[in-house]
Amino acid sequence: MTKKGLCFHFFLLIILPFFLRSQDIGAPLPVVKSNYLTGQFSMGYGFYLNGGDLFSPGFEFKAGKFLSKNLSWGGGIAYTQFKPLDGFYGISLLSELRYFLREESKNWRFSGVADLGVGIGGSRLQSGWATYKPGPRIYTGIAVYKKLDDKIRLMLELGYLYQYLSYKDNTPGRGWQFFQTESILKYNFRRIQLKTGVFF
Amino acid sequence: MKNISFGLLISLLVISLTSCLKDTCENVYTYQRYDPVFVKPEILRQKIAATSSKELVTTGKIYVYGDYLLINEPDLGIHVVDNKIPANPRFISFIKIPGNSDLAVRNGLLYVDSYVDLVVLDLKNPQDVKELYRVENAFPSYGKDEKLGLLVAYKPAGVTETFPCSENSGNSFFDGNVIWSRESSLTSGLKTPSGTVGIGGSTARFTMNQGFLYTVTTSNLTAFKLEDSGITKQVSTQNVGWNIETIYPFEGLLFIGSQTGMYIYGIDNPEKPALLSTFEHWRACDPVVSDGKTAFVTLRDGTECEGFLNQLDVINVSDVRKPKLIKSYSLHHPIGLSINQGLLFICEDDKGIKLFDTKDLNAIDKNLIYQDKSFSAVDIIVLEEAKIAIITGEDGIWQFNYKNPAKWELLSNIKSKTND
Repeated sequence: MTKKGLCFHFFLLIILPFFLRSQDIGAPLPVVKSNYLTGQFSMGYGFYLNGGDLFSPGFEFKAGKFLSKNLSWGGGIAYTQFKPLDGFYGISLLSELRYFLREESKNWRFSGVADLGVGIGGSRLQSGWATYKPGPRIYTGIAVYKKLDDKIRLMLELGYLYQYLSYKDNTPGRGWQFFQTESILKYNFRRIQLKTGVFF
Repeated sequence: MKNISFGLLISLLVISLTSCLKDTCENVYTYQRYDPVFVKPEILRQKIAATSSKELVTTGKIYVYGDYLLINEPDLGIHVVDNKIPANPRFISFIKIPGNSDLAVRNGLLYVDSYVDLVVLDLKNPQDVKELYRVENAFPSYGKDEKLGLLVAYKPAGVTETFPCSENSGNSFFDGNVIWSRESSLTSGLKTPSGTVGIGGSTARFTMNQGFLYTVTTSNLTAFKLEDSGITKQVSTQNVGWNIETIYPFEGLLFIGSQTGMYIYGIDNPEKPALLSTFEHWRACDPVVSDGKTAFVTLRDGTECEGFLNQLDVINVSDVRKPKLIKSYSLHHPIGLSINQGLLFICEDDKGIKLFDTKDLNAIDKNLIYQDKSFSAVDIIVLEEAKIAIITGEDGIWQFNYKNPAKWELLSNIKSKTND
C-alpha cells in the first residue's frame, strides 16, 4: 500500500470516527450502550487464481444498535481491494449481527459476528470499459475488544470472507473482435481477514 | 510464548484452509463460431429449376429485370416477383439454388452463384426456369474432404462457453481454417447499361458490361465472357486486394469497394480489366456508386468491418487515374446507396432512408430533401424512368414512388418472415 493510501486509511479509521463520537448517544460503560459506531482496517489473505498469495487491504465503516446486552444489529459499507495490482476492488453494503460476551470487570469483551451483504466491483484500469453487476458477500468472524476508556475500545477481529463479483468486459478491440461479442468474468473471492479498528 | 502459539495457530489455520482461500474465476464468452459447411458434389450439382412460389423469409440482394423483381433468399435461392404493378407485387416462383447470394441478368439469362459454381439459368419463362450451363469451381472453395465433399462455406453460430479465467478461450474455431464472409454487397440503380441487362444494388458482387459478367470474391476479380446460348467462359481472374465487397459499373469503368479502399478498373479490354487507380480509406465496409465524375462511398463500422467510421466520402473521379477526396460527411451507419440524376439515396440501416441533392458537393448535408426513419434500409435500387425506389431492409422490401422527391408515396411493402 502506498504512503498516500496509508494516510487515507489513517484518516478514515482514526480521525473520522473520532469526530463521529458525538453520535454516540449510549450510556457510559459498563452500562449497555444503545448504539455503536466502528471503523475498521482490514487485511485479507488468500491465493490468486494461478497460485501465489496476496493481501487484500480494505476498510469498513459500520453503525449498529444493541438489541439486548448480548446482541447487536448494524450495517455499513466495506471497501476491499481484491486484486490490488489490477486495481480491482469491491464496494459492499452489508448488515451484521453480533453476539457479545462480556468480561467488563477486566475490560475485555468478545463478539462473534456474521454479516451478509451485497457488493459491486470496480476497476481503476478498466473503468469505463466494463459493466459491473452486484454480487453477494458473506462474512463471519470473531473479535476481541480492549477498553481504552469509557467510550472507546480497540478491536481485533479474525474472520472469513466470501464475495462474488462479476463484470462484462466492454473493452473494444480485444484481439479477435470479429468473433468475440461478449465476455463476462465471474470472480469468487475467498479471504481470511484480520481487522483492527476502534469501536465506539 | 502466548504470541508464538497464536501465530502458529493462525499459520496452521491458513495452511489447512488453503483451498478455501483460493480465488476462482470463470469467463463466460459469447462469440461467433464458424462451422464448416460441406456439400457433396452430386448434391451441389443437381439441376436447378423453378418451384412454386413461397414466402419470403430473409431478404438478401435484389435485382430488377424488366417487370420482374428478383429477391435473393441467402443461401437458399431466388424469389421471382412480378412487379409490373409495384403497388401489387406477385410472387410467381422460387428458384431453389443452394449457396446462392448473388445474381445478374442479361438477355433473359440469369447468372447466379451456387457455392463454388457459376450457373446460367434460362429465365425467359420465370415459372419454368431451366439450368443451361454451369461453370464448375468458378469461385474459390475452402477445401475438400474425401468423405464430406466440398467445403463451401462457414456458417456463423452464436456460441456461449465458460472457461476458467486462467485458460485462453475461444480459439477452437481458428484451427487452421480460413474464415471468409460471403456477406455484403449492394448494387445501385444508375442508368441501366441497356434494356437487356437488369439492375442490381450497390452491394452486388456481380455486374455486367458489354457481354461480360464481372464478379468479385473477397480478393479476386473474375471476368466471364457471355454468349446468348448460355455458354459462359471464364476468361480472367486477378487478385485485386483484400476484403473486396462490392462492384459497380459505369461507362467503361468498374468501381470496386473493399474494406480499405475503392479501386477503379478500366475495361477497354473487357477480358482483362486494368487497374487505373486506388483510393484508400480507413478500414470500414464500403459500397460505392458513381456517376462518372463523382464517386460516392459509404463507410460504416461493425464487427465484420472492424472500423469505426460512419460517413459518406465524396470523391472526384473526373480523372479516374487521380481520384481526389472532395469532402466527408458524417452519417448514421450508412450501407447501400444510389445516385440518379443528381439525387443521392442513402440507406442508413435502422434509421431508414435519406435523399440528398448533390448540386453542391461541398454542402450535401445542407441539401437533405427527404428522410424516412420508419423502417430499416440496407440497399436500394432506383428505377429512373418510373421514379420508383426499391429498398431492402431487415423487415422486407419497400417500394416508393418519389416523383415528388420531397414527399414519397409508399406503393407496397413485402414483409419478410424473419421479422414478423
